[in-house]
Amino acid sequence: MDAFQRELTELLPRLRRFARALCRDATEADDLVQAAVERALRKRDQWRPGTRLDSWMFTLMKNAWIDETRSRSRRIALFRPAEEGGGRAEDRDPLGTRLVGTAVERAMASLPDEQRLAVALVLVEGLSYGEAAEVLRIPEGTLTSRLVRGRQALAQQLEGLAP
Amino acid sequence: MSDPQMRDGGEARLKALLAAHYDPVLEESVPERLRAAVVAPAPPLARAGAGWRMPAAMAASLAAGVLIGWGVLGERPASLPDPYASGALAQVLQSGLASAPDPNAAAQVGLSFRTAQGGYCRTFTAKDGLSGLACREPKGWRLRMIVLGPASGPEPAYRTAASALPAPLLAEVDRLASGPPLDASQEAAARAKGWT
Repeated sequence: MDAFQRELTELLPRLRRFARALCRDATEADDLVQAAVERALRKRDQWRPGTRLDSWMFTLMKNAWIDETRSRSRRIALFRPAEEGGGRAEDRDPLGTRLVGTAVERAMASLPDEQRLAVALVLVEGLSYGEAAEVLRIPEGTLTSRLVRGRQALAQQLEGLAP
Repeated sequence: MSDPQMRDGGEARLKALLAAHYDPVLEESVPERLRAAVVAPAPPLARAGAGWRMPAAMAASLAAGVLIGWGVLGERPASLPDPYASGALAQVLQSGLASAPDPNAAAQVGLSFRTAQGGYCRTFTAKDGLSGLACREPKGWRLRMIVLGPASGPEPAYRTAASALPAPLLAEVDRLASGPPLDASQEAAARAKGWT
Protein backbone atom coordinates (compact mmCIF):
# COMPACT_ATOMS: atom_id res chain seq x y z
CA MET A 1 0.00 0.00 0.00
CA ASP A 2 1.49 3.35 -1.01
CA ALA A 3 0.99 6.74 0.65
CA PHE A 4 -1.96 7.60 -1.57
CA GLN A 5 -3.73 4.39 -0.69
CA ARG A 6 -2.96 4.82 3.00
CA GLU A 7 -4.43 8.29 3.01
CA LEU A 8 -7.44 7.07 1.08
CA THR A 9 -7.97 4.26 3.57
CA GLU A 10 -7.87 6.72 6.44
CA LEU A 11 -10.50 8.79 4.69
CA LEU A 12 -12.95 5.93 4.23
CA PRO A 13 -14.97 6.60 7.40
CA ARG A 14 -15.56 10.20 6.37
CA LEU A 15 -16.36 9.26 2.80
CA ARG A 16 -18.90 6.80 4.15
CA ARG A 17 -20.47 9.50 6.31
CA PHE A 18 -20.68 11.90 3.40
CA ALA A 19 -22.21 9.19 1.22
CA ARG A 20 -24.72 8.35 3.91
CA ALA A 21 -25.89 11.94 3.89
CA LEU A 22 -26.47 11.73 0.14
CA CYS A 23 -27.88 8.26 -0.37
CA ARG A 24 -31.05 6.52 0.62
CA ASP A 25 -29.47 3.73 2.60
CA ALA A 26 -26.19 2.35 3.85
CA THR A 27 -25.69 -0.12 1.04
CA GLU A 28 -26.21 2.48 -1.62
CA ALA A 29 -23.88 4.79 0.29
CA ASP A 30 -21.08 2.23 0.41
CA ASP A 31 -21.56 1.51 -3.25
CA LEU A 32 -21.09 5.19 -3.93
CA VAL A 33 -17.89 5.21 -1.87
CA GLN A 34 -16.65 2.22 -3.80
CA ALA A 35 -17.41 3.84 -7.14
CA ALA A 36 -15.56 6.97 -6.02
CA VAL A 37 -12.57 4.98 -4.80
CA GLU A 38 -12.38 3.24 -8.15
CA ARG A 39 -12.53 6.60 -9.92
CA ALA A 40 -9.81 7.89 -7.64
CA LEU A 41 -7.51 5.01 -8.49
CA ARG A 42 -8.02 5.55 -12.18
CA LYS A 43 -7.43 9.28 -11.90
CA ARG A 44 -4.83 9.34 -9.17
CA ASP A 45 -2.30 11.06 -11.39
CA GLN A 46 -4.67 14.03 -11.45
CA TRP A 47 -4.39 14.47 -7.70
CA ARG A 48 -1.56 16.75 -6.58
CA PRO A 49 0.17 15.48 -3.46
CA GLY A 50 0.14 18.14 -0.80
CA THR A 51 -3.38 19.24 -1.69
CA ARG A 52 -6.35 18.00 0.23
CA LEU A 53 -7.33 14.49 -0.66
CA ASP A 54 -10.64 14.78 1.15
CA SER A 55 -11.81 17.67 -1.03
CA TRP A 56 -10.71 15.85 -4.16
CA MET A 57 -12.55 12.71 -3.07
CA PHE A 58 -15.68 14.69 -2.23
CA THR A 59 -15.64 16.08 -5.76
CA LEU A 60 -15.30 12.58 -7.23
CA MET A 61 -18.14 11.38 -5.03
CA LYS A 62 -20.31 14.30 -6.06
CA ASN A 63 -19.71 13.49 -9.72
CA ALA A 64 -20.39 9.80 -9.23
CA TRP A 65 -23.52 10.58 -7.29
CA ILE A 66 -24.83 13.00 -9.90
CA ASP A 67 -24.10 10.56 -12.73
CA GLU A 68 -25.94 7.95 -10.77
CA THR A 69 -28.99 10.03 -9.96
CA ARG A 70 -29.25 10.91 -13.62
CA SER A 71 -29.11 7.33 -14.72
CA ARG A 72 -31.18 5.92 -11.90
CA SER A 73 -34.54 6.88 -13.29
CA ARG A 74 -33.64 5.31 -16.61
CA ARG A 75 -32.38 2.11 -15.11
CA ILE A 76 -34.65 1.57 -12.19
CA ALA A 77 -37.21 -0.24 -14.30
CA LEU A 78 -34.79 -3.05 -14.94
CA PHE A 79 -34.27 -3.83 -11.33
CA ARG A 80 -37.66 -3.00 -9.95
CA PRO A 81 -39.10 -5.96 -8.09
CA ALA A 82 -41.78 -7.82 -9.95
CA GLU A 83 -44.14 -7.35 -7.02
CA GLU A 84 -44.47 -3.93 -5.55
CA GLY A 85 -43.01 -3.16 -2.20
CA GLY A 86 -39.94 -5.39 -1.99
CA GLY A 87 -37.04 -3.15 -2.68
CA ARG A 88 -37.38 0.15 -0.95
CA ALA A 89 -34.96 0.87 1.82
CA GLU A 90 -37.76 1.45 4.28
CA ASP A 91 -39.04 -2.04 3.67
CA ARG A 92 -35.77 -3.65 4.54
CA ASP A 93 -35.83 -2.63 8.15
CA PRO A 94 -38.40 -4.88 9.71
CA LEU A 95 -37.06 -4.20 13.18
CA GLY A 96 -37.46 -0.47 12.84
CA THR A 97 -33.90 0.20 13.88
CA ARG A 98 -33.77 3.22 11.68
CA LEU A 99 -36.80 4.88 13.19
CA VAL A 100 -34.72 7.37 15.09
CA GLY A 101 -32.94 8.40 11.96
CA THR A 102 -35.85 8.47 9.62
CA ALA A 103 -36.88 12.03 10.35
CA VAL A 104 -33.41 13.27 9.50
CA GLU A 105 -33.13 10.97 6.50
CA ARG A 106 -36.53 11.90 5.20
CA ALA A 107 -35.75 15.55 5.56
CA MET A 108 -32.43 15.15 3.76
CA ALA A 109 -34.02 13.09 1.02
CA SER A 110 -36.59 15.81 0.43
CA LEU A 111 -33.92 18.35 -0.47
CA PRO A 112 -33.07 19.02 -4.10
CA ASP A 113 -29.74 17.38 -4.98
CA GLU A 114 -27.82 20.66 -5.08
CA GLN A 115 -29.00 21.64 -1.61
CA ARG A 116 -28.34 18.19 -0.22
CA LEU A 117 -24.75 18.35 -1.46
CA ALA A 118 -24.24 21.74 0.15
CA VAL A 119 -25.74 20.60 3.44
CA ALA A 120 -23.75 17.36 3.45
CA LEU A 121 -20.46 19.15 2.85
CA VAL A 122 -20.89 22.04 5.27
CA LEU A 123 -23.21 20.80 7.99
CA VAL A 124 -22.24 17.13 8.02
CA GLU A 125 -18.62 17.17 6.87
CA GLY A 126 -17.77 20.50 8.43
CA LEU A 127 -16.17 22.08 5.37
CA SER A 128 -16.02 25.85 5.26
CA TYR A 129 -18.23 27.61 2.73
CA GLY A 130 -15.19 28.28 0.57
CA GLU A 131 -14.03 24.66 0.67
CA ALA A 132 -17.47 23.36 -0.13
CA ALA A 133 -17.84 25.77 -3.03
CA GLU A 134 -14.55 24.53 -4.41
CA VAL A 135 -15.59 20.89 -4.08
CA LEU A 136 -18.79 21.64 -5.96
CA ARG A 137 -17.00 23.91 -8.44
CA ILE A 138 -19.48 26.72 -7.84
CA PRO A 139 -19.08 30.32 -6.65
CA GLU A 140 -19.24 30.76 -2.91
CA GLY A 141 -22.35 32.93 -3.21
CA THR A 142 -24.15 30.12 -4.98
CA LEU A 143 -23.07 27.68 -2.32
CA THR A 144 -24.31 30.00 0.39
CA SER A 145 -27.73 30.42 -1.14
CA ARG A 146 -28.13 26.67 -1.66
CA LEU A 147 -27.09 26.08 1.89
CA VAL A 148 -29.46 28.67 3.28
CA ARG A 149 -32.37 27.20 1.38
CA GLY A 150 -31.44 23.67 2.38
CA ARG A 151 -31.04 24.70 5.98
CA GLN A 152 -34.42 26.37 6.05
CA ALA A 153 -36.13 23.35 4.54
CA LEU A 154 -34.44 21.02 7.01
CA ALA A 155 -35.19 23.24 9.98
CA GLN A 156 -38.84 23.33 9.02
CA GLN A 157 -39.09 19.58 8.78
CA LEU A 158 -37.08 18.82 11.86
CA GLU A 159 -38.71 21.38 14.08
CA GLY A 160 -39.29 20.05 17.56
CA LEU A 161 -36.65 17.34 17.42
CA ALA A 162 -33.94 17.26 20.04
CA PRO A 163 -31.35 18.57 20.58
CA MET B 1 -14.63 28.99 12.37
CA SER B 2 -15.17 32.54 11.28
CA ASP B 3 -17.99 32.08 8.80
CA PRO B 4 -20.52 34.75 9.66
CA GLN B 5 -23.25 32.20 9.05
CA MET B 6 -21.96 30.22 12.02
CA ARG B 7 -23.36 32.86 14.31
CA ASP B 8 -26.73 31.60 13.25
CA GLY B 9 -27.99 29.50 16.11
CA GLY B 10 -30.24 27.62 13.72
CA GLU B 11 -27.27 26.31 11.84
CA ALA B 12 -25.55 25.14 15.02
CA ARG B 13 -28.64 23.30 16.14
CA LEU B 14 -29.10 21.71 12.75
CA LYS B 15 -25.46 20.70 12.74
CA ALA B 16 -25.94 18.99 16.09
CA LEU B 17 -28.99 17.13 14.82
CA LEU B 18 -27.17 15.96 11.73
CA ALA B 19 -24.09 15.03 13.72
CA ALA B 20 -26.17 12.90 16.07
CA HIS B 21 -27.47 11.05 13.07
CA TYR B 22 -24.45 10.80 10.79
CA ASP B 23 -21.39 10.87 13.04
CA PRO B 24 -21.88 7.31 14.32
CA VAL B 25 -20.96 6.21 10.80
CA LEU B 26 -17.39 7.22 11.66
CA GLU B 27 -17.31 4.61 14.40
CA GLU B 28 -18.58 1.78 12.23
CA SER B 29 -16.03 -0.65 10.94
CA VAL B 30 -15.36 0.00 7.28
CA PRO B 31 -16.63 -2.84 5.08
CA GLU B 32 -13.87 -5.04 3.80
CA ARG B 33 -14.91 -4.48 0.21
CA LEU B 34 -14.08 -0.78 0.53
CA ARG B 35 -10.69 -1.46 2.06
CA ALA B 36 -10.07 -3.94 -0.71
CA ALA B 37 -11.13 -1.44 -3.36
CA VAL B 38 -8.42 0.97 -2.22
CA VAL B 39 -5.61 -1.52 -2.80
CA ALA B 40 -7.13 -3.16 -5.87
CA PRO B 41 -5.64 -2.36 -9.23
CA ALA B 42 -7.72 0.25 -11.01
CA PRO B 43 -10.67 -1.64 -12.40
CA PRO B 44 -10.44 -2.30 -16.11
CA LEU B 45 -13.17 -1.68 -18.56
CA ALA B 46 -15.22 -4.82 -19.07
CA ARG B 47 -12.97 -7.82 -18.71
CA ALA B 48 -13.81 -11.42 -19.37
CA GLY B 49 -13.46 -13.75 -16.47
CA ALA B 50 -15.28 -15.68 -13.83
CA GLY B 51 -17.21 -13.97 -11.14
CA TRP B 52 -18.53 -10.50 -10.70
CA ARG B 53 -16.82 -7.59 -12.36
CA MET B 54 -17.63 -3.96 -12.17
CA PRO B 55 -16.39 -2.58 -15.45
CA ALA B 56 -15.02 0.91 -15.34
CA ALA B 57 -17.68 2.23 -17.63
CA MET B 58 -20.23 0.95 -15.22
CA ALA B 59 -18.52 2.30 -12.16
CA ALA B 60 -18.39 5.59 -13.93
CA SER B 61 -21.95 5.98 -14.95
CA LEU B 62 -23.91 3.18 -13.46
CA ALA B 63 -22.61 2.75 -9.97
CA ALA B 64 -26.00 3.03 -8.53
CA GLY B 65 -27.88 1.17 -11.17
CA VAL B 66 -26.03 -1.81 -9.87
CA LEU B 67 -26.78 -0.74 -6.42
CA ILE B 68 -30.38 -0.63 -7.22
CA GLY B 69 -30.03 -4.16 -8.46
CA TRP B 70 -28.31 -5.18 -5.31
CA GLY B 71 -30.70 -3.21 -3.21
CA VAL B 72 -33.47 -5.31 -4.60
CA LEU B 73 -31.50 -8.44 -3.94
CA GLY B 74 -32.04 -7.81 -0.31
CA GLU B 75 -29.15 -7.78 2.05
CA ARG B 76 -25.75 -7.90 0.48
CA PRO B 77 -22.60 -9.08 2.15
CA ALA B 78 -19.81 -6.65 2.80
CA SER B 79 -17.64 -7.87 -0.02
CA LEU B 80 -18.77 -8.29 -3.56
CA PRO B 81 -19.60 -11.93 -3.98
CA ASP B 82 -22.36 -13.56 -5.91
CA PRO B 83 -25.02 -11.06 -6.69
CA TYR B 84 -28.10 -12.68 -8.06
CA ALA B 85 -30.57 -11.18 -10.46
CA SER B 86 -33.81 -10.15 -8.88
CA GLY B 87 -37.07 -8.51 -9.74
CA ALA B 88 -37.88 -7.85 -13.34
CA LEU B 89 -34.50 -9.06 -14.54
CA ALA B 90 -34.83 -12.40 -12.76
CA GLN B 91 -38.24 -12.78 -14.28
CA VAL B 92 -36.92 -12.16 -17.78
CA LEU B 93 -34.07 -14.62 -17.29
CA GLN B 94 -36.38 -17.29 -15.97
CA SER B 95 -39.27 -16.91 -18.40
CA GLY B 96 -38.13 -14.86 -21.38
CA LEU B 97 -37.54 -16.50 -24.73
CA ALA B 98 -35.19 -15.10 -27.33
CA SER B 99 -37.44 -16.72 -29.90
CA ALA B 100 -40.49 -14.85 -28.60
CA PRO B 101 -39.27 -11.50 -27.31
CA ASP B 102 -41.62 -9.40 -25.25
CA PRO B 103 -41.07 -5.78 -26.29
CA ASN B 104 -42.53 -4.56 -23.02
CA ALA B 105 -40.15 -6.54 -20.83
CA ALA B 106 -37.43 -4.75 -18.86
CA ALA B 107 -34.77 -6.71 -20.73
CA GLN B 108 -34.45 -9.05 -23.67
CA VAL B 109 -32.78 -12.42 -23.57
CA GLY B 110 -30.06 -12.94 -26.15
CA LEU B 111 -28.13 -16.19 -26.19
CA SER B 112 -28.82 -19.18 -23.99
CA PHE B 113 -26.21 -21.89 -23.70
CA ARG B 114 -24.90 -24.67 -21.51
CA THR B 115 -21.56 -24.68 -19.75
CA ALA B 116 -19.17 -27.60 -19.57
CA GLN B 117 -20.64 -28.36 -16.16
CA GLY B 118 -24.09 -28.67 -17.70
CA GLY B 119 -25.57 -25.49 -16.21
CA TYR B 120 -27.45 -22.89 -18.21
CA CYS B 121 -26.34 -19.33 -18.83
CA ARG B 122 -28.16 -16.57 -20.66
CA THR B 123 -27.19 -13.15 -21.95
CA PHE B 124 -29.57 -10.25 -21.67
CA THR B 125 -29.82 -6.74 -23.03
CA ALA B 126 -31.66 -3.97 -21.27
CA LYS B 127 -32.66 -0.64 -22.59
CA ASP B 128 -30.00 2.03 -22.97
CA GLY B 129 -27.06 -0.19 -23.60
CA LEU B 130 -26.79 -2.32 -20.49
CA SER B 131 -26.17 -5.96 -21.18
CA GLY B 132 -25.00 -8.89 -19.17
CA LEU B 133 -24.59 -12.56 -18.61
CA ALA B 134 -26.25 -14.61 -15.88
CA CYS B 135 -25.95 -18.29 -15.06
CA ARG B 136 -28.56 -20.41 -13.38
CA GLU B 137 -27.51 -21.68 -9.99
CA PRO B 138 -29.59 -23.37 -7.32
CA LYS B 139 -30.20 -20.04 -5.59
CA GLY B 140 -31.15 -18.18 -8.73
CA TRP B 141 -29.63 -16.40 -11.71
CA ARG B 142 -26.16 -15.33 -10.75
CA LEU B 143 -24.91 -12.26 -12.60
CA ARG B 144 -21.56 -13.13 -14.10
CA MET B 145 -20.96 -9.96 -16.00
CA ILE B 146 -22.61 -6.66 -16.74
CA VAL B 147 -21.36 -4.44 -19.51
CA LEU B 148 -22.39 -0.96 -20.39
CA GLY B 149 -21.87 0.08 -23.94
CA PRO B 150 -22.65 -0.70 -27.52
CA ALA B 151 -21.65 -3.84 -29.29
CA SER B 152 -18.15 -3.53 -30.67
CA GLY B 153 -15.00 -5.36 -31.50
CA PRO B 154 -14.33 -8.59 -33.32
CA GLU B 155 -17.05 -11.11 -33.68
CA PRO B 156 -16.57 -14.34 -31.79
CA ALA B 157 -18.02 -17.61 -32.90
CA TYR B 158 -21.41 -17.32 -31.31
CA ARG B 159 -22.46 -14.00 -32.72
CA THR B 160 -25.91 -14.22 -34.23
CA ALA B 161 -27.90 -11.63 -36.07
CA ALA B 162 -30.17 -11.23 -33.07
CA SER B 163 -27.46 -10.77 -30.49
CA ALA B 164 -25.80 -7.41 -30.74
CA LEU B 165 -23.73 -7.94 -27.62
CA PRO B 166 -20.57 -6.14 -26.56
CA ALA B 167 -17.36 -7.94 -27.36
CA PRO B 168 -16.31 -8.65 -23.75
CA LEU B 169 -19.62 -10.31 -23.14
CA LEU B 170 -19.36 -12.43 -26.24
CA ALA B 171 -15.83 -13.39 -25.26
CA GLU B 172 -17.15 -14.58 -21.92
CA VAL B 173 -19.87 -16.55 -23.71
CA ASP B 174 -17.22 -18.14 -25.88
CA ARG B 175 -15.22 -19.00 -22.81
CA LEU B 176 -18.06 -20.57 -20.86
CA ALA B 177 -20.14 -22.26 -23.52
CA SER B 178 -19.55 -25.92 -24.17
CA GLY B 179 -21.44 -25.97 -27.44
CA PRO B 180 -23.52 -23.84 -29.71
CA PRO B 181 -26.27 -21.72 -28.21
CA LEU B 182 -29.67 -23.26 -27.69
CA ASP B 183 -32.07 -23.09 -30.57
CA ALA B 184 -35.68 -22.08 -30.07
CA SER B 185 -36.96 -25.52 -29.17
CA GLN B 186 -34.05 -26.25 -26.83
CA GLU B 187 -34.61 -22.88 -25.18
CA ALA B 188 -38.30 -23.58 -24.65
CA ALA B 189 -37.55 -27.06 -23.29
CA ALA B 190 -34.97 -25.71 -20.86
CA ARG B 191 -37.42 -23.08 -19.66
CA ALA B 192 -40.09 -25.71 -19.15
CA LYS B 193 -37.71 -27.63 -16.91
CA GLY B 194 -36.87 -24.48 -14.95
CA TRP B 195 -33.30 -24.31 -16.26
CA THR B 196 -32.17 -27.22 -14.11
